[in-house]
Amino acid sequence: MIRFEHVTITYPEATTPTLVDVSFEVPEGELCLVVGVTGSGKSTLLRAVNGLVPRFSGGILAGSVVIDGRTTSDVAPRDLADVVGVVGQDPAAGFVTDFVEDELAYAMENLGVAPDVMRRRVEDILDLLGLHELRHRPLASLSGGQQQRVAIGSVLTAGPRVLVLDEPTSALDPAAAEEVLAALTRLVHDLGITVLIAEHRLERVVQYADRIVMVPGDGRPVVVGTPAEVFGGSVVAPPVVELGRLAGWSPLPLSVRDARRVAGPLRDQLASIDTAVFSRKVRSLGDVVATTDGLQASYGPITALRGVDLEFRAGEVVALMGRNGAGKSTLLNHLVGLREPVSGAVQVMGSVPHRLSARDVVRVAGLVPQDSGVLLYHDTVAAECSASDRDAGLVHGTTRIVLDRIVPGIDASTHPRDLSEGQRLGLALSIVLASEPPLLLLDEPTRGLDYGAKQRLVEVLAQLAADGHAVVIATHDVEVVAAVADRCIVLAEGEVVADGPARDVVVHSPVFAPQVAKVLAPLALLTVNEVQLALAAASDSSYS
Amino acid sequence: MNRQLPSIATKRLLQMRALQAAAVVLLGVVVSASVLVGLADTASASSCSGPIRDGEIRVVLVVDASDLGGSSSATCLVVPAGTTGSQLLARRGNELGTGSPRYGSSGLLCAIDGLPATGCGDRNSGGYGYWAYFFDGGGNWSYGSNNPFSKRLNDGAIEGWRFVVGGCGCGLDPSPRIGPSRSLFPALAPALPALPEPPSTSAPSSPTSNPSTNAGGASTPIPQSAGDANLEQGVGEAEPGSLTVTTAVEAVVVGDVALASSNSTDSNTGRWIGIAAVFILIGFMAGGAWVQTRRSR
Amino acid sequence: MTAPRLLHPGAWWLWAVGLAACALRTTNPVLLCLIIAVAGWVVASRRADVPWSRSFASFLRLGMIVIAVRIIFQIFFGVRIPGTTLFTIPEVTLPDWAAGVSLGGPVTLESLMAAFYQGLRLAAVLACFGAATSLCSPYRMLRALPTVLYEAGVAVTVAFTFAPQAIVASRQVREARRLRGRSDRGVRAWSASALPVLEGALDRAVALAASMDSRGYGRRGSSSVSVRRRSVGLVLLGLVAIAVGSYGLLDPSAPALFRIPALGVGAAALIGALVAGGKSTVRTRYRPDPWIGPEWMVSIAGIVAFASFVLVGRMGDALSPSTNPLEVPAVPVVAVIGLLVAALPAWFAPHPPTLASSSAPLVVAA
Repeated sequence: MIRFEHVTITYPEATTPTLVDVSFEVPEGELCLVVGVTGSGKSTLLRAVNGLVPRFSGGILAGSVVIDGRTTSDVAPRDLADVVGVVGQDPAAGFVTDFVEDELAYAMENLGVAPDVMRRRVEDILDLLGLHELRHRPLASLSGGQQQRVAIGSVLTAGPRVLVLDEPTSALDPAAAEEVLAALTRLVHDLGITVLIAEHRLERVVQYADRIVMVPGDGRPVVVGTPAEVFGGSVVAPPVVELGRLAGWSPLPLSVRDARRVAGPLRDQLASIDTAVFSRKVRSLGDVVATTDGLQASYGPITALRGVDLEFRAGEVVALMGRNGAGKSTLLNHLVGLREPVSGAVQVMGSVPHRLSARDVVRVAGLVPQDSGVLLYHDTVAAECSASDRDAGLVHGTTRIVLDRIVPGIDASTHPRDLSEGQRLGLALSIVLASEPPLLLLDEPTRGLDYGAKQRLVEVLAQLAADGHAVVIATHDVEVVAAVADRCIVLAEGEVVADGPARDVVVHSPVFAPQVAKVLAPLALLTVNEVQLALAAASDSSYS
Repeated sequence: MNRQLPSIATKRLLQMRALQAAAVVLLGVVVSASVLVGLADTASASSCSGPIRDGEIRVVLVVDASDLGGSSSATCLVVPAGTTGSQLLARRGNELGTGSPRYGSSGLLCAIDGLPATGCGDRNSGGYGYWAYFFDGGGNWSYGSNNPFSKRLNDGAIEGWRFVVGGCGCGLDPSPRIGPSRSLFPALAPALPALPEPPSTSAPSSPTSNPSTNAGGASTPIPQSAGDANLEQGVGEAEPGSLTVTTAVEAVVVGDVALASSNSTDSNTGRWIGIAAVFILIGFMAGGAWVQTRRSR
Repeated sequence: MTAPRLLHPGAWWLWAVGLAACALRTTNPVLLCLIIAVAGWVVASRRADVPWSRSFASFLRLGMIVIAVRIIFQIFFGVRIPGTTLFTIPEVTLPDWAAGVSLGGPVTLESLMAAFYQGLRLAAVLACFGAATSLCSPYRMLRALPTVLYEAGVAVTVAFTFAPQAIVASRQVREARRLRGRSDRGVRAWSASALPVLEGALDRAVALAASMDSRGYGRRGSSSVSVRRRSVGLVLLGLVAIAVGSYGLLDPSAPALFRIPALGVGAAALIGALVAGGKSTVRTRYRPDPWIGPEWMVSIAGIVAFASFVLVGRMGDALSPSTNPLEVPAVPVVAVIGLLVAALPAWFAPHPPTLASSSAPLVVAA
């Protein structure tokens, strides 16, 4: 169904090609997962499937891409609309109309489908994706998961045989991500549609994948194979695969269910150990850095936060979790003084953040927003770093050093908008860190980061906490929370539902538990590292 | 330093307040306008043949309305130095009792002495019907393409306006039938010492019903020939019309109070009632819209 | 009362054009204020709860800016017709070649009122336009266009969505400035946020274009190039002819050929283009908006208001109160009644679907 033949893609003004001699084939009816580090060319690969690369992005494509017998170099993307459907990362950016039903019908209108056929297909897609209650809603009022499903539906109505999705679940909370992935698997299994999906959070998807295409980047050849083949030898792998490698399970389990089936002996081995010993060394907590007291916040008539009482101390890493719209971003905005509370008090280092001038507030609290690109408005990375040094009154080059520690290897003359997600986040983080605020806030930093970048972020955050900062990170990524957070706060509908040590909050929750905890339940182990330490301790104790 | 970012509610409150303030200011302007309209103005001038005070000049204004069925007239006026051409027209209307000229909304001069009664620079077959402006260019009329309204007059200036039917709006249009000549100025009497007199601006007055030009204290009979006599063509034969108003120091009220006539008062009251009714209606609509917007948030 | 649904956008536009035509015919401030109030009242009553419905307030603000600019221009550059002087600005005598322009001088009440009336008229037209954009979605308007004009309409629609998105984006960028320790107030903040906002808008536009292209936008049928060229040529000819004919109608000095005959030629060319072009594009319409009773009622309300103004114009000059000499404007009852008829859609047009009633069907008839 999809065939890449010796495809080499070079973007304009790039010195090296992004993809070199890529050849693989995806047969019909498979769910194919494209993995790779940030900036390795996954998006390029996906957009080459329907011809958006090179027709929209510019560049040179050597070789040929053949979809269902049609070559993309002969056929424009609009003429491939009835064969390939493409869904981007931000569904809202691709919406043309205002209402759900109109959006679903848009593709069919373009193709000139007869009106009665259009009616039937819209009804079918509404049922298939569970959208029938939303059909008259304005698109702007939908949640992220609902928007993503509408975006999928809008390309499905044209009846394509191939569906291409670029990180569909990156912005979604775990529950919404499950909805979308369930819809995709239903498409694959019930309708036989070929799905090509790029995802960083492999742990969610790898169990459904029939084939993996790993794009290593830097012009190295792609690796294609079944999940077991590809992950058996690769460094980047979801936690359950790493656990399998550690425990020596064969074949490597890809899902929690497969792992639990073979995890019995491991659980028994670790049962006798007091796992509390292997919890991360508790950092010594310093003084209180920030407090909120009865914080009430609202956007117009909607109450975003109700009576939130929290306290943040230096040296701790706090994870803020909850559904989309639960108030996490609102809380962070209030802590950095972008919003004024309706009632209640917010105090950071003794002062009220929304009353401070901009220069003063960045010395007490720093926020890396969800879209880190809004912080960057110079032409080159070098200009950003020197501007940041100037604004914070630092020695020239400090920001650059911090940047190299977080994300190494960024060319100083690159335009910030051309950086990959992880690189942009690293640049924004280094700019915020330049003035060394005691309270550091990050809003969804893990979006678009691959495992390696996430690992580096975890190390940086741990180092910052050790240096005495208070770090608050709002995230959906349970693996990152398991790796770095000391304390976990769960928000729902503007209220604090849970606030305690991360281990206690996260371990037995079906939504927030990391894969290792789910596999080894009821043992309270969160990461593969802890399992490693526990195994070592178990073998020691068995000898002693 | 207080740099708080106002919440959305506060911003809207501030905007509402700004709108209310603007509305109040507007209302104030409208009210004061109506009050000022009624104010009378004072004007006093020396005689064209009598003693000329310091700071005053003599100018002659020729108005040719013969193509409209009116008459040609040349009026000598004594005005403060630096009077503009438009102020001159207004003064002439005041002193002859024919009312101030009518202007269109774009600033085009529509009518002098109420002629033509309707229309303003209308186009008919053959060209435009409008008041053409001329000035004395060394003994002959020069078509004025510069701005008569800001041009400051000098002593001895002669200005001319002629209504042209079917003109081209250019220098080919016919000039007034009374030619510019020094004989339009009456001979001067010996000068009197200067009296302090602030120059006054002329005020528009609605066309008055009784063209009284002198009030109380007129000492000299007025050889009233302006505008009424049939003047012959030709330079130097026209009888200059001149006015004398009292030379007393006291200010003379010329022209009627604008809203004095009983007819206009009644209609104005009726109009104010109508305006009030409509604004009450607008207030209801605005209030209703406000309530609906609040409710739908 | 019918079930909640969205009205055909053409009906709202006809109503708004009727109101705007009324506004263009008068400088009577009372009537103009009433027009703005009627537009606001209908918008507040029948506005759907969607992002594009908040634009009316922005148009009102724009109208106030227009009035202020007009008055400022009058203060500095207006023609110095004598009147009740309020204050005097130092006069600047310009050289002879610029003698037609007056700079400075006494500022009279009459000239300010004239400027205010003219600015108010423009603000009323803007309010009518804002009402139309608030009441109907640009996208539905686009769908109602004939297919041959569709692609030109897409550019307009995308442009419509640019301004609200740019406002949201500029707020985000200015907040981000604060996060970097720079002030978010003042001219520097606005000018520094312009470039990121524009870059963001460009990115969004490219993403939108890619999404539309991937869904088949711009597909051509099997018609030949010459047929398409012919229909485009007819459209251009028709638009030019209509523009010339409109100018001819407004300018009394234009030759008779440029009036009704030009309009006739233009209309014929456009109809020919629609017929020819309709065959070449392959777009179909999903559940097009019907044109039934409420649509007729709304359009006729606008037309009635316009007719009442034409009537009042013939009966006297209450529509243009004089500013020199300044008089109290008369309020013609016929015009007020006409405008109240134009306010009727606030009661009799169907409610737009709200979130609460989102299970109700979007259109009455399929």
